[in-house]
Amino acid sequence: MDSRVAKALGAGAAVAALLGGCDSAADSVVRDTAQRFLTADPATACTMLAVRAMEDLTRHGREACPDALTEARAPGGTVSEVAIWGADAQAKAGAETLFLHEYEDGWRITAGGCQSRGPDVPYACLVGGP
Amino acid sequence: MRKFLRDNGLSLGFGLLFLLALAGQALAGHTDFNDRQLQDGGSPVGFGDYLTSSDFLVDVAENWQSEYLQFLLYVVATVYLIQRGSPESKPSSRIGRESDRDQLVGAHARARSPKWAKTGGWRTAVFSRSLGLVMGLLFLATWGIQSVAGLAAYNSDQLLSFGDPVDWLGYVGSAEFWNRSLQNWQSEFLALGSMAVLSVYLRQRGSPESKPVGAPHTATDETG
Repeated sequence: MDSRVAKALGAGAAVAALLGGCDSAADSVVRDTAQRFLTADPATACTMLAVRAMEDLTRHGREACPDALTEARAPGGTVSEVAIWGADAQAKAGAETLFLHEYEDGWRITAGGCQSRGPDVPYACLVGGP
Repeated sequence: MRKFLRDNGLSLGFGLLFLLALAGQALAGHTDFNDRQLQDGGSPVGFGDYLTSSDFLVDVAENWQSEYLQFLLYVVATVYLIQRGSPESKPSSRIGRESDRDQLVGAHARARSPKWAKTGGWRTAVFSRSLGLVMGLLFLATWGIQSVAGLAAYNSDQLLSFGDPVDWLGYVGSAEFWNRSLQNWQSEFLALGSMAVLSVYLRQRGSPESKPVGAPHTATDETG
């Protein structure tokens, strides 16, 4: 069974999350992944991006990912808060927010350098995002 | 065996239809879920994983709660509300909970009446309301499951589309939760109301849900 679904998509996970008992193992992995993305050198950080975020970053073919990421990435902070629902997660670090999705090879960054635009509106992101 | 199948055909038939429809829903829901995942930049999940997902659970629970609400209301409302001419309604002379004699309760119970109908006290009081109570509990349980599974499915969608997750109170106060609930409730109320009216003027020969074909439109509480 795919571990990400066992961890998070099931009804048990929903009940546990409702009662405040997060999956601490997944929480730790997401927190670590987000923190590494924020502090890694651009080349390493590029390997942590989801395919769609990577394509979005280099859409015009003008720059390689590390160069594009250097321009786009917001200053890294410390991850202070993590929310995981299903195979998706959000990590907050200072004034910025990251979004992650769990693929077969692990968690990847789907959006970074995101700022809230208010309730019911998707975040505005420097890397990936809507 | 043949006698057992004949005597329980209604429950067995609908039990089988339920399982077939649930299996069909699971197959179609799995395909739909993976289509949406790929469109949103997510990843597809296996069939077994989908069956244990909050997305599948909320779709199942939201329909169950509305069905149990339908039967709860119909069972309880028909004690006090009547529809003249409907085979499923009582005549106006029997509105209300009726007498112990009519209901074969306590001293009026018969030899083969259920034990709790004879004993009196709280047991008879509970048994007298047991159908509505169980329907009510099933409604509340499935509505509760819908709210929890719906919260997980909603928040997963929120994060996949780069929005903020909400807590349980936020979800049960959301338009998403009430839209899911009310769109089912309105269809149940329409079906019940139209059945009450149509059964006054139309017939289904041989069905206990219908009056006899030759019964007058004004005949109430008469089936066949």
